[in-house]
Amino acid sequence: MDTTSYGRVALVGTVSSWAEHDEAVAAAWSARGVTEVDDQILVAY
Amino acid sequence: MTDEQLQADVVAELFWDPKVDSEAIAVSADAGTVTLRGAVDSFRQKREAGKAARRVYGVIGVQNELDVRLLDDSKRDDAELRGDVLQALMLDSLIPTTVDARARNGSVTLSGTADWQYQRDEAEFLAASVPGVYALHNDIRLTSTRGASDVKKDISEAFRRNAKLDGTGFPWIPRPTDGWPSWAR
Repeated sequence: MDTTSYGRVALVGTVSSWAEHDEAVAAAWSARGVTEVDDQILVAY
Repeated sequence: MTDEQLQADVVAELFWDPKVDSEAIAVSADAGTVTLRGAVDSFRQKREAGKAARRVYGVIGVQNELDVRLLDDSKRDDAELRGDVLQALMLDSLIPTTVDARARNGSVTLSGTADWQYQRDEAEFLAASVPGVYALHNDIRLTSTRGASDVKKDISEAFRRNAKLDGTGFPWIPRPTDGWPSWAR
């Protein structure tokens, strides 16, 4: 297995503001072992 | 919310934010997507304008097409600009010495490696704030920090602890795009 794919995380879902979006992406990046965040989050009010 | 209302709110937010000189910024809105056009006098301002627009209730996306028109005072040649960026990076204790920068026609590219995304973000913020920068590319690579036992659980727990995210009832979970490797299941 390609080791670079180990650290890839996709975030899927809906949040209610960009502030929430940014918080979620930052949290995902903070996880030990994460080297790539595939951001598929939708912002819906 | 109508696009007219959204456009007016973004204009008001740009005017409200003391970090943004909104005089020469034009705003349009289309189905929740906001476009910023016009000019600001630094790359930092361009970023701050985009950030301010993203704060506004109802904004789904921001197209930041602002031109950076440098004042004569902040124009400098590429060697000098690179020196300023490297110095800014050097003076921040978060930035590892493995990060490098180059400049071409005022456009700065960050390269090298870092252990963490926050270091990459910090380097980008610092470089973007240096006077004389027209544009910025962040090519810093992350060196893999292996050793997590359960990334999915770790991130889910971080979401749950977070006051900003918990309010939404935590409706979504992170998942890997390529299937979880055995060490992360």
